[in-house]
Amino acid sequence: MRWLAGAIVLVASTAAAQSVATLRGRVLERATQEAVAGAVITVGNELAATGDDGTFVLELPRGSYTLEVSAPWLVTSRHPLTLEADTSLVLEVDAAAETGGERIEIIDIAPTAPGETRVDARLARAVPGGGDAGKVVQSLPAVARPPAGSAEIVVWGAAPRDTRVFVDGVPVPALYHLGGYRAAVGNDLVGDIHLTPAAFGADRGRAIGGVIEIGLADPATRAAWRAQADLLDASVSGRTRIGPVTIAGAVRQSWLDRAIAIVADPQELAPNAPLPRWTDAQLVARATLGTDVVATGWVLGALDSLERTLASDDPATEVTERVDQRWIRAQVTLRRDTARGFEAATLWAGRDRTSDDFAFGITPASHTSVQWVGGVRGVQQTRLSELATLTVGADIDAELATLSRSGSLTIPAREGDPHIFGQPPGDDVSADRWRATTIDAAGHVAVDVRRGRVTATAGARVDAWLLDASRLTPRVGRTPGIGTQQIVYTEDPRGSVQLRITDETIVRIDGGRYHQARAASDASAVFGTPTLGLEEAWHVTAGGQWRRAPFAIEAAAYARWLDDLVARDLAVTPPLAKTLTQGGTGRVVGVQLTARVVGWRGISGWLSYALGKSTRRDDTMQAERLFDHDQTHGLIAVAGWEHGGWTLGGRVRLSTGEPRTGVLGALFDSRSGRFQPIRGAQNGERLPVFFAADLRAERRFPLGPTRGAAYLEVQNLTGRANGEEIIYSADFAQHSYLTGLPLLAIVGLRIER
Amino acid sequence: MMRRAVVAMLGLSAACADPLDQRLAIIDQPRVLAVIAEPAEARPGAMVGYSAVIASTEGPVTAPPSWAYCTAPKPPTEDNAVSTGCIDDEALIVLGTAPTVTGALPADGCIRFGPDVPPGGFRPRAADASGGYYQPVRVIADALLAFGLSRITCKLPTAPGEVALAYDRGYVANANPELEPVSLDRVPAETAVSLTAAWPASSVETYLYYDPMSQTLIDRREAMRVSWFATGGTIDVDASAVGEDDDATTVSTTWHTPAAGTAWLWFVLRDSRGGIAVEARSITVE
Repeated sequence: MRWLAGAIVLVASTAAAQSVATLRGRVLERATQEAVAGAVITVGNELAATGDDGTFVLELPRGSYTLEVSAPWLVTSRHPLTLEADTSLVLEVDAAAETGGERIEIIDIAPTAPGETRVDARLARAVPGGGDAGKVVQSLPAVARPPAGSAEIVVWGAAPRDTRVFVDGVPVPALYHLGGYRAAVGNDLVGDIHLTPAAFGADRGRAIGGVIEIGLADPATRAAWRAQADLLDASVSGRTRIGPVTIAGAVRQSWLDRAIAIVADPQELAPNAPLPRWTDAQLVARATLGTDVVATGWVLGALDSLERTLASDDPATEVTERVDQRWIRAQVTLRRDTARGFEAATLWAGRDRTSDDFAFGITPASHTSVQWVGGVRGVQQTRLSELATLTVGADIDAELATLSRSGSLTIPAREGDPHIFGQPPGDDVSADRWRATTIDAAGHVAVDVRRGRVTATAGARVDAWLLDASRLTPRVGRTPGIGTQQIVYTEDPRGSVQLRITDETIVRIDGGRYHQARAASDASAVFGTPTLGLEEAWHVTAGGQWRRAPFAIEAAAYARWLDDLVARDLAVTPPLAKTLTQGGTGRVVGVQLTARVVGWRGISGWLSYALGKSTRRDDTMQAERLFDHDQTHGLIAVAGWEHGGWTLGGRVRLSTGEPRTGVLGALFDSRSGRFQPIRGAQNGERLPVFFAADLRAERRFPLGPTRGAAYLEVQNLTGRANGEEIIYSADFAQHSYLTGLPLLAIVGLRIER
Repeated sequence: MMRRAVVAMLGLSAACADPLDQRLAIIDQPRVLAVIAEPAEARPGAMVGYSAVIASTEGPVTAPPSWAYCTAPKPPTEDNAVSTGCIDDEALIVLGTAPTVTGALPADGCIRFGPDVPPGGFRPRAADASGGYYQPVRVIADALLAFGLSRITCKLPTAPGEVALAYDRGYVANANPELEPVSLDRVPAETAVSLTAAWPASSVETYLYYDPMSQTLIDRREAMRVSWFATGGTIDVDASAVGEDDDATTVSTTWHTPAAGTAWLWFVLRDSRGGIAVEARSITVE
């Protein structure tokens, strides 16, 4: 993540004149000589933040400045500086009077590319969302307001599957645990969170939506130990040093369901509210080898389970579901910083397992998948001259999946299925077992060139994809299957142009082409199409930024054109082994206005408004329809205020309701004895407008030799009953809304040393 | 108190709030309760008779409905039991307007609604959870729109040859179950009365089922389900079921009777292969 941050700063720091110098620095705490991470460096109107190792890099016109180092827990220091050539500094700072606990910091005041956001984990934890760093993603500009209980992320009108989540550059299958209460990537070891909603660079691929990067912190910067507990779960973490290796570990276990079960039967209390169990654990080790090589290794894992029964007065409509999800990732990275750049190599592997057993009355459905994944990636960045920087890299990702599934074609529902909430799925039962392999080897290159007020990045990514499915046609007895393999080559140009109009104002345009492979679950000869290939998208973003520390304002416009999307074959009798097609297309357009503040009188946060439209067409013969998660308007305000031993966080969200398909009438099905809806136009209606205001307060205090903190979070302060789904009476003659949580209060305690 | 605190703290109470009536047991307007095919299962081309059970607040409705076979299959991505083409008048074989009608099942039923597919490599339709395929029968009675699904016997073209042959030889078509007569005549007003539906053991048939995952034949017993209806009062549950592994031949529930007067009760017994039996009874509430 550090090199990425460096690259962002590099690209952003277009010099006002051709005579630009590089300022490199490292910030140390004077008393301990330990690196200071997350301090804000201000030089003129340029801002940077120190990384986990206390370093920073800025590109500045030659001249005289005052360099300021600040952070809420530091005594602000100012240093006169004359920059005549590339310069390196070591700055010593003093810690402020100890109050204990966490403090807010924001790494970057304003994004570099339109819509891009990077948030430090400590601010993330201050934002209402359960005190969990990863939850902040749902509050970022460009991210649609998620439905209650949803673990999915919709970024600028992209389907959840189209946005990839990485931890230190390694892809993970999910950002959140089941039910969306907590992030799956722990909490205590998260360093920062970085969202690129569209038009990301050539170093990332295999996604046609956005990219979410979770950066783990340097374990040396973590507390010696920490314990935290609240109504949802409990966690402990610790750090130690063995020789040159610093090791940190954390584990978290939920108890939400058991806490409720103490006082009431969860099924009786809240049959519609999922009460999953979750566990996650992380182990991170880091060491410096020699003088300039840093080795980092980690293992992450997450376990989720959910059992629920939606009881009914009619056994034929009783729903039971049992979900079990688990994944693990391990990686080793070697990184070497050089005078002209850096180079890094990563080797990673993992395993995902998901099983979902579902029954609607006597109609069963099940889905099991086991995926072995792994990859290797390497990247090198070199400054060619004062004007140009070259980044080259290569990566290979592989996924070997074994799947089995039985039940209706419509379980689980896909984006675009005209589903009516509460309606039983189809009772047709098919079954299949299959294997699918996806291997992608890619190379990428990008050149950053600065000339006067203009910075341009030209890049490209070339991928060779191997897509394999074990059966081209459905199984019949023991007849050996004939598989299918295809090798596809893609060349994706990526680039950006940035113009610095004044020292405070820049405009920028980014664009590129993107591809992602079909999901392994879609390669069934019974439930999907084994010969599916790649989905494609073109992205263009354009925007302007004005920033004067500590404020920044950004306007961004975005557009995506999606092609070859995997979609249902809507034919009455689809071809054999081709129930999915690649005839889907989509269009996403929108604008976003964001204002940010960093550390102004202890206040950090953002206010963002987005206006957008996302549409899909499942087939060229079909009419265009709204994307299932389309939200026309989205307004979000997030703020954290730190004062003395207090941290206050607030969040206000206002958004258009998601589209839904209405009901025109009903017919009686004598076989099931239930009514069935006659549907209106697909996604022709919307849920009501969503509004919620949330507040979080934390009080830190000394506790003997340790530090303590108590916190209270209240979500939906106004108690507004937000409609999350349209529900119908049994005969579909009346409708109302299933409402979300009127009030959610979480109290917790944290102790650390 | 503790419970209320937790409910308030988690805000879970609203998540389960459902202000709408999800119950169908009390007849408060005319409604089709069942469409009965006799025989319950037959091969395409065979003659099948149909009758409808229509209830109103005053008791059974005797006005003759309009009948038609629908020939429009639904896409496999459709959750509903019938195609929207069956709602419109696009693809119908009219059977007439009468309390009961008889018509020959369309000969191409196993192609339109079953596993047989036209030449050219198409996806065979999947059977339901009991291995069945169904011919839709449309019923219109005044403003009421209902469908019966008449089970049709088809072969197993997608199964291994020896399995398909064994199925063809061993499968026995479904027969409608029977309900024991209801002995209830008079009940006290506004009290709790036990309702019991019973059927002979022979109504629970054992049948061959083709398991699409293992691609083998297995013996299964029918599951049974009774839907309860009344024109007044309340009934504890809409339906009661007996699973495949349960030998019980009776189910019960409680009817909280209305004020004095005349009420009607209907018991609708369904087996898991689409067979239906109905008992209707006029009750004096006193």
